[in-house]
Amino acid sequence: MNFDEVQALWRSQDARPPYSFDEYILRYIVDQRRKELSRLFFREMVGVYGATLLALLGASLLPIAMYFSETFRTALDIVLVIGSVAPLLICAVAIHVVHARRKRLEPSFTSPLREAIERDLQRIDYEISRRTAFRHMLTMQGLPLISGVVIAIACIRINSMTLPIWFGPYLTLVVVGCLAWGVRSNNRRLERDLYPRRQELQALREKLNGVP
Amino acid sequence: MTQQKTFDEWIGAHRALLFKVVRAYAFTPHDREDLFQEIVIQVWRSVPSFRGESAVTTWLYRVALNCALAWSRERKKHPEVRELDGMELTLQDSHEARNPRLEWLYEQIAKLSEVDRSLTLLLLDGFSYRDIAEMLGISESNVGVKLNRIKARLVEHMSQENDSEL
Repeated sequence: MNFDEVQALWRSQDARPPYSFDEYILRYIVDQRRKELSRLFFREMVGVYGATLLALLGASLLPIAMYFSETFRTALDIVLVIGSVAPLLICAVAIHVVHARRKRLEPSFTSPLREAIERDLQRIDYEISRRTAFRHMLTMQGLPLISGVVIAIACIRINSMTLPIWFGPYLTLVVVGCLAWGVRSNNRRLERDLYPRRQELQALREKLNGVP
Repeated sequence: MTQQKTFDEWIGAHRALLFKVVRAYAFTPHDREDLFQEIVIQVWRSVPSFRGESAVTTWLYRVALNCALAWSRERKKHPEVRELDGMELTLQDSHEARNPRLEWLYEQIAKLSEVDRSLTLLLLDGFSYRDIAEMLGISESNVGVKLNRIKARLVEHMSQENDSEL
């Protein structure tokens, strides 16, 4: 068998495909997946806009509470309001920036293969840089914690509560624990998913660019 | 033409193309089913972005190959079998007897790397070097070198096969 015969053999599949499929079932599956993708999109939107809404709600509650309480009078109170509101707002903006960037780098199946690989690599690199950069970790994990701590202190102040002796160490422990958990889950995602995926894509790109 | 109508027409007219990609990248009936569904869904989602700048077959090949490569990477990462929503019988073996020579050819293709598999499929379907270069995003000369190597390898395997038949 020579190469032309192989090609003829290959093309014989056009006339006699090796499989058949039920068009109704296929349409049903496409329909189901469409609904599933719409649900996922809706959930993503709820996550992004819900987080912003919660941040704005949280940011507005404390100033209101302090305004109506008798304690909203000193410079420390103003610091507390800013200290709790600002991190939440920064976080809300950061969520939108990350979301927009991810959307831009979503895989495109209609691009040439190399372009699709490059885009996928850019997406992975972005995820890696996000998870390894200190400023990103501070924005996404540190700021909500800072805000939480400030709100807790403000609440204590509004209610003129006397703190028990264990409260300080307990709060510190919670903050450190949350940060450690965040760092650990970040590292796990990097080691198990992002680094191997990047390696694989780089190898694929090399294979595509290089001469065998 | 509506998205649904275009999709139905293309899937109907170019099913053989999709089957070839599925068969070259997925090796069990379940995987073939899974990949076929993935490709079909991607085609459906990508139909609105078709601008008519290339032939439908070229465009479909591009979507199918991108999808197959992404699917292969995901499959390596999650080798466990994914549930197919109880609708597993989209793809049925045709009643005609399988051609053993074609089976052998697919076996040879399966031995190649994922990128070379794409090149081989496009070569066997008669695409020009220029089309292949555009589809893969590499230079024509690179395509030429790679294809010459693949062709030589295939011919060598074929002659070995012929010798063993004798």
